[in-house]
Amino acid sequence: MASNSLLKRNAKRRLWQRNLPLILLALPGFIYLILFNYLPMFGVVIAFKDYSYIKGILGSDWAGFKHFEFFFTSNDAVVVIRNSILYQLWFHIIGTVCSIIVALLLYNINSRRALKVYQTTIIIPYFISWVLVAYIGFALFSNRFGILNSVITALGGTGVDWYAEPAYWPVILTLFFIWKGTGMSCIIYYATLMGIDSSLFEAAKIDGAGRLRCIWHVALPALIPIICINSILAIGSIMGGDFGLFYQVPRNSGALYPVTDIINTYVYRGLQAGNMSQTAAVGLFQSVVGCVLVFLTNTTIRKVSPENAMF
Amino acid sequence: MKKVSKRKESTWFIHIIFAVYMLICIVPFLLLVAVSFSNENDVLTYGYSLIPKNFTTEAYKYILSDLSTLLRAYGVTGVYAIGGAVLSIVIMAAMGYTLARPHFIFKKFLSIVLIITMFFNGGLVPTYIINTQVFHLGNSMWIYILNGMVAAYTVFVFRTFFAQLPVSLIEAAELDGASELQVLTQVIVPLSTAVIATYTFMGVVSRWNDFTVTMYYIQDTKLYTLQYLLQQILNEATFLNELKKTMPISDMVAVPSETLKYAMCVLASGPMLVIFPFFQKYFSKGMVAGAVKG
Repeated sequence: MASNSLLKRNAKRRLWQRNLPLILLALPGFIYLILFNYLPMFGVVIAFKDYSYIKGILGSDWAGFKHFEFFFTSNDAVVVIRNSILYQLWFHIIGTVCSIIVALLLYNINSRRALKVYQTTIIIPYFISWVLVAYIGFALFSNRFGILNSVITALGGTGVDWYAEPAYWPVILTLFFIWKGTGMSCIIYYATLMGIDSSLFEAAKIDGAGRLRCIWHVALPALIPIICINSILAIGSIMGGDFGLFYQVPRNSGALYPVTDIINTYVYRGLQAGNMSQTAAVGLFQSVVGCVLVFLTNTTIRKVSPENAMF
Repeated sequence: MKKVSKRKESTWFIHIIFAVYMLICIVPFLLLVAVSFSNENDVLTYGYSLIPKNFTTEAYKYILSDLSTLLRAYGVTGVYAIGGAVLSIVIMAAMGYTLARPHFIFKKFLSIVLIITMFFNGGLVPTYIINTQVFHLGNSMWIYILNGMVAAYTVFVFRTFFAQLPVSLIEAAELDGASELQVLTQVIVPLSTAVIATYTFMGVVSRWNDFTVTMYYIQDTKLYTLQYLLQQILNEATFLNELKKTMPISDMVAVPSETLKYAMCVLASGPMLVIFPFFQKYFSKGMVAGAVKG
């Protein structure tokens, strides 16, 4: 008995000794997560308080659901929630379609040199900052000096005050989104296509399938797992949106808010204005919705086709 | 062989599509460069143009007469991008390694701690308050280093990649008496250079291009990053005027405002635009290796 428990204790000590170096390796990251990810999570209590800098997070007075009520009864709520959801959905769909089209086009190119040149060039926009995109946008759309207005007036039309005219911006934002991201996001689809056993294509051809039918029956099914994973991730950020795109490219122009304001830009302006608790409430709403949607989508996918579920 | 010849006849239109696509990717940058070399008066009368009517380096001369603002922003951005990315990768790789070790007792616990951060976060305002009021990171270089240091997704990519490396190599190293740290640095890392280099590079790019950290946390103009400096120049007329005052030639009328913006833009982003695509060929392999079932 005695030797048995001694053995057990020894085994336990050995386990700890083997684990100690690993614990030390994981510790910096773990401490970071607690301080910089988890502490702010508990900081969301200020959404239920009237935050004041002097009283601090814990000392501020409770306010119940006042800030949520304020947001949801305001006109802003409808606009920013609608904009966020519609843009995220639309961007996900059009972005995926464009990436797959580019990937399929790349897949049909045989010359290695051409392939390299194309890939290297179309990825360049991905590497630039949104601020630089804003410069490009300004060079095109500037009221006084922009290329577009020069072209319009040269053709006999009257220039448009682009940064004050909301109607055009859903299109402009979509174009910039596609321009910047497609060169990068097509890589994963292209790599998946390259991984398809080429005998599948040959078999399809022998069966008399043309190019389009090959794409439909061989290529697309192979891409479905990636599309599923990306869709789950996209649904989780349905209330999100690229802050750089929506803040920099319209140059934070107030006249454009009806079509360019999303939750992320709204939250930033709230922070800037110092409305801490109200803004935290909006952020919390955004976070919770994203979280719930990810789990719902994943559960649904797991029921329909378990092999495509993320977790 | 038959397949190739069949494809050949119908690929010319794909090449045309890519030719157009490449032009759309490149021309906007040429436009920025063209404006920066334009004569200010031409811009004021005719607007921006893809081909400068009168080629001039005037705008650049003004900037080169006082480079201190630009160079300081380069320095801050460099420390932020390279320092922040390298430190973050070291910490994430160490974490990923522990998760890849089958006998690590906190594997499940640590995974859950990481997964939760993927699906829920405090949001901008609580994060801002904690960082500035509790840790006092506002207006300091530290916020650049510490912001977004651990990304759960990347840790899991590392774990997945490390876990599929041959176990026999680790066992052999352990038999030779290597510690966990030695296994990580001398066995695992050399076998994972593609993935680690890729994610380091991505970390550098995203930090280099970031303007938000400066916008949220920094008031001191000495700590501005390049992107934020550029944003201020584009959007805040007052900032541009302040900047022009520091330039030795004080004749305000003669300072070219419009072309100066673009010259600054070219000087601040040009070097990276040349450097980044060169790395691209190294990283697309690592990108795919890491992303497959992340």
